[in-house]
Amino acid sequence: MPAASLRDRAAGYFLAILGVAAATAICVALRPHVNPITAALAYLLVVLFTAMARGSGPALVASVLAMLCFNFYFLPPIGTLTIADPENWIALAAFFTTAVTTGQLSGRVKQRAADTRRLARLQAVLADLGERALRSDPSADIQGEVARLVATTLDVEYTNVAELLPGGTEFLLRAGVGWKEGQVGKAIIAVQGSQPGFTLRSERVVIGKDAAIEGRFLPMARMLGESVASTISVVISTQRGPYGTLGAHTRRRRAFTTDELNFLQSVASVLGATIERYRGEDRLRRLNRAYRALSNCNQLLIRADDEPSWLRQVCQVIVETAGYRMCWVGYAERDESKTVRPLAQAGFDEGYLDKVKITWGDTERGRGPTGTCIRTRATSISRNIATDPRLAPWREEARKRGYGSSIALPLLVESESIGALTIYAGESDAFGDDEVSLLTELSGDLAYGITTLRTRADRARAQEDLRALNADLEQRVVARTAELHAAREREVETGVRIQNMLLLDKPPLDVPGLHVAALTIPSQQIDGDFYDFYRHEDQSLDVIVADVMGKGIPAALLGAATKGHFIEALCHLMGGSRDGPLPQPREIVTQAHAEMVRHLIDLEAFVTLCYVRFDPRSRSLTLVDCGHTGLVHWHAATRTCEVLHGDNLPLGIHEGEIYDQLSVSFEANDTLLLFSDGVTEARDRQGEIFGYDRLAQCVRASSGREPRELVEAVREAALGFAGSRVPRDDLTCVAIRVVEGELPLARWAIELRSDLRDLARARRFVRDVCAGLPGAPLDDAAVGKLELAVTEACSNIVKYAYHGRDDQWIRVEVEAYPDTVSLCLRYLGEPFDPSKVPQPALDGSRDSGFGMYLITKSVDDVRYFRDERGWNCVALVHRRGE
Amino acid sequence: MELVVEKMGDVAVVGLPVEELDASNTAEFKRDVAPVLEQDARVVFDLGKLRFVDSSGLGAFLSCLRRVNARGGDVKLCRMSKQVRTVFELVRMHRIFDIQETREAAVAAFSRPG
Repeated sequence: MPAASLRDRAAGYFLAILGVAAATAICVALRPHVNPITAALAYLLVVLFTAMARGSGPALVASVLAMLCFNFYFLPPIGTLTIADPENWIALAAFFTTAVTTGQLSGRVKQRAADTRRLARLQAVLADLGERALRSDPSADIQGEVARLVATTLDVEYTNVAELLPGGTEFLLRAGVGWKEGQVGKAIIAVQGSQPGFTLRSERVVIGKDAAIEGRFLPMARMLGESVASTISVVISTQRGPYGTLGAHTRRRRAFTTDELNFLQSVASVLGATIERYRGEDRLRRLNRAYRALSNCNQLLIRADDEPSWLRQVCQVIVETAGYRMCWVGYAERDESKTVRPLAQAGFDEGYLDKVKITWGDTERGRGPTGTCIRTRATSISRNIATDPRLAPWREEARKRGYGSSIALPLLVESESIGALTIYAGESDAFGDDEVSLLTELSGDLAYGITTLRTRADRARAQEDLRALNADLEQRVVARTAELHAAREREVETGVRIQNMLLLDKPPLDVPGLHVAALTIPSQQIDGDFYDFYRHEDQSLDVIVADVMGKGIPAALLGAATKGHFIEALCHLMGGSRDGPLPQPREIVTQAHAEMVRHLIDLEAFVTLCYVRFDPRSRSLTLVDCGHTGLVHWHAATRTCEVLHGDNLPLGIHEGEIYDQLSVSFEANDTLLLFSDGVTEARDRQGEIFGYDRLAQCVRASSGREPRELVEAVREAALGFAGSRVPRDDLTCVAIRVVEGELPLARWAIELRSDLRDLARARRFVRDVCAGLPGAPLDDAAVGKLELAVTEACSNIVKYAYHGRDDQWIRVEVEAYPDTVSLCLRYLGEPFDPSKVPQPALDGSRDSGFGMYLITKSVDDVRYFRDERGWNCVALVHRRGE
Repeated sequence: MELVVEKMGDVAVVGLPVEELDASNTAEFKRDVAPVLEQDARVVFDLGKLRFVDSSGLGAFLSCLRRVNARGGDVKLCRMSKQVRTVFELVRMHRIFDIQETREAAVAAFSRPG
């Protein structure tokens, strides 16, 4: 008991004695004037006063003293404590009783007043606490304040707020007074057997009056190394269950009043409510931060472009905005050990992720929240890392870094866990339900983000591909357009080539007595015009100029077919009579027509043509004109122009048609022109046609010139007339000029096999021809040289053109002219040009390579060319008399 | 071909049995003359029958000459027709070969110095 209180009580008794003494002195001094009743009333007043001022104890002392003094000084015999008169006994007893009763009554009134005051004070303290608790914020140390307040109010040395830790097996000395330094905030008290544990279990106020005899629990202070006698503790409750206990302990043995008990209970309630409010606020605050984090993350997603940096930013936001200690995103690798590969991280890590080696397999290192959440595809929370047995492998590292609790949220992409978002909070039990649902939403957004980013990346890639593809396509379109353009040009070109190849025969260059030239100017479209030349053994030349109705490929093909039918007809008619007379042109036309008329009728097509045979020996021509343009004959002698026409129907009009021919003669220097109606029907801008007269004028103007010049003149005139470089219709013409003195006197031919054993035959042929040459015979040396030349030429042909094959042909033709003997070797196979043969070594160092040299030394002229049919020709000319 | 080889002293006189030597039979000639060229260093070709020779025939004679020359010997030709000689002259081979009128002259030519 404090000394002040002791002094206060001693003073009460002293005052009681002093009061009685003072009343006795006054009454004795005034005895003549004071009767015993007055004195008794004076004593009663003193007792009453003492009781009122100092309580019932001093009042009782005052009552006894007053009774003795009253007896001694005022009851006879005065001066003694004896009482003579029994009446006075009664009076003394009445006085004592009155004094005691009055004193006790007054003392009790005073005690009650004191109790009321104390209660009022407790209530004031409580009210104050309540108000402060209401105003305080979670950062304030409300537990510490409560501990101090309880100590002062209950007048105890020790108080404590013990917080039940998650897991429910331990308390933390959260706050308190009187404890050794370093214990508050650190000391852990087991639930089992401890006072707070007992209090928690009993769910009511627990009072221990004497620690020495306490058997129910180990008093808290004892556990913390303090010596206490009395103790009291209550449960701090919250809506989510007990927060812990509030206790007060004193070394004195003392009792606790009901008011104190109620006070403590009330304080615990206020504390519980406050903590609950804090928790709520904390949750709200966290929730708000989590919301902000969520919102920020989503905004990041909008701007995000690549996955790793976006995830890093998200982690950063989660840590900084939501206030967690650390956060990371790990991807579940589909490798053998099922590694969780950290991809992004933020916050206080200090090498944690490098050390922890988390997997998502069902092994020890896979059973932490992260591994579990990936495996189970559900959120996994560790409310207290310090006590969670699942976190045993990582506890020490986590503790070092101040991780209190953690949550792992699966990243689900199409309900597959691709990884986890793991967050560590500094506090234990940091993740409230709302927060968890918010973080779940965040992880959902994260997964969505990852999908979006991947999709976006895919899309970007796809777009890039598409762009590249488009560019490529554009390029290809450009290229293709160019190709198409080129193709169209090629098509025209091809058309022209087809026409040239299929339809337009090359005019023969070496027809004795006739110079031939042909011309065709293609219109924009391939056309059905064609011409053809057949040379016969008897030196006559057949020329066909035809025009197939229509245009384009069909007309061209029909033209080609027509050509084919004519060759076939010719072969057919010549068959078996190789040395007999040639079939007549009308026979050929009739035969060809018979072969093709049905097709032409079926196709509703027809062909106009001129078939002309020139016989330079008889200087006559035979014409079959089938609805064609006829031919222009320029008579050099009379300088007149004549147009020859037949009156046959075109081919394909009438089945069974018999064609007629007409024959006319020509002279040297005459010119004959066959043409298509594209020439005569070329139109100028006024629509006027070129006509026969203008064509005849061309022929006249070109008289005496080579046919090549004539066809050029026709071209110029017709195109000039039409005013266009490209005719509307194909312009086709064939010009033939009769030349004098060029007819061979005799002609021989032999066909040799490409066999070296036929070389002797070749020489025999040459000898025989030379023996039969008209005019003066050749001398032996000349014949020998011709033999040598032919032998060498044939050897070379076998060797180079036919590469040693002996089953091919070499045709040797000899023509005798008055001044020359001309040998022509015609052969197929590889063309070889004598001019390319190097000069031989004539010093005996080489034993080959003389062949070509010998040829050039043996004859006067050697010429290589390809004839109109594509045969290789080597012409050897010997000039007579040289 | 059936070559007629006649020894006149240390000279082998080879008579060509054909009238014409051209691309069709030079290979045969070269094959059949090879043994003679192996044995003898002094060879005379009697071309009395030969009426025609072409470039491959010329090549064959040149080939013979080179082979015999390589062994320190020589080839001489005789009884060459006018036409064959013309061919030889065209490629100036009359300067390379010693061409004699008769067999005897050809054989004797070996005895002459130079």
